[in-house]
Amino acid sequence: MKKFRILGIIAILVMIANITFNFEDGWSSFLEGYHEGARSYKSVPDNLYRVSLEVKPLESIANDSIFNQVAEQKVPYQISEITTYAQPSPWIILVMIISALSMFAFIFGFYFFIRFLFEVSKRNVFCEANVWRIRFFVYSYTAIIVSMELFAWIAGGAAIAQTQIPGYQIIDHAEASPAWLPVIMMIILAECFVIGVRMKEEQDLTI
Amino acid sequence: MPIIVNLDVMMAKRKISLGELAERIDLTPANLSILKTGKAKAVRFSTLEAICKELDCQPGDILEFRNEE
Repeated sequence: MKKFRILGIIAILVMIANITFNFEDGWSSFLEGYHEGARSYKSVPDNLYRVSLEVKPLESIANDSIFNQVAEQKVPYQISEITTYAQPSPWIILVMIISALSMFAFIFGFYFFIRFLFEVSKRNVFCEANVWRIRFFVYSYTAIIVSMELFAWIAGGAAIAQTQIPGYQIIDHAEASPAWLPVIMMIILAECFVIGVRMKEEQDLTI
Repeated sequence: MPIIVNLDVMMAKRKISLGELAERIDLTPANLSILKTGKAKAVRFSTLEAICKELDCQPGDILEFRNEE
């Protein structure tokens, strides 16, 4: 049980750190965009959204080089990701609404996750309430990831069609979310827990 | 549920209470009550054997299948 409490505290701290860093990153991006919009010689219209794109230099173009002070010679460099603005389809509004609702739901999901850890630490593991808590947490988190991926897909697709950068080929929108594997694993493990609760209920009701 | 438990009927015929039967077959009154009220999901053969031995009846006297169609 002590090991579980330590793991639970680590999980909560990692999630808080993840949320904080993402919030800080989003806030700094917002401030950067705000200041950029305030400059007189460059203002971005409201209907354009900030997008990150993966780029690859064209093979026919020679690589640019920069001077390396330690090697004392010029070495090639490449740009692999750019951040620009694009006008996505109107569906982006719907995705943003879904994202906002998902984030609101995840606030409750995070609370339910902490309640779940608390109940397990009191040895109250296989109960119906914990089924609901773990499912709410996992599926609210999944909703956030799906909405982030949708946003990146819609905005990225629009940016690829609307953007050209000399000497480079745009290959894809940059990944904005964690890999799908952890999300799918969370869903599988949550449903395994649900099956375990159902089996225990059946066992308890076997006379 | 299609399986109906008629334990209360047999207990009334043999004039035995729930607590007494539970004590005789080494089961808690709570568990026996779960069986009597039809909330049980499954019954072990050992439990069924003990009940039939104590109430001097057949499994068919206690368990009945009723098609709900």
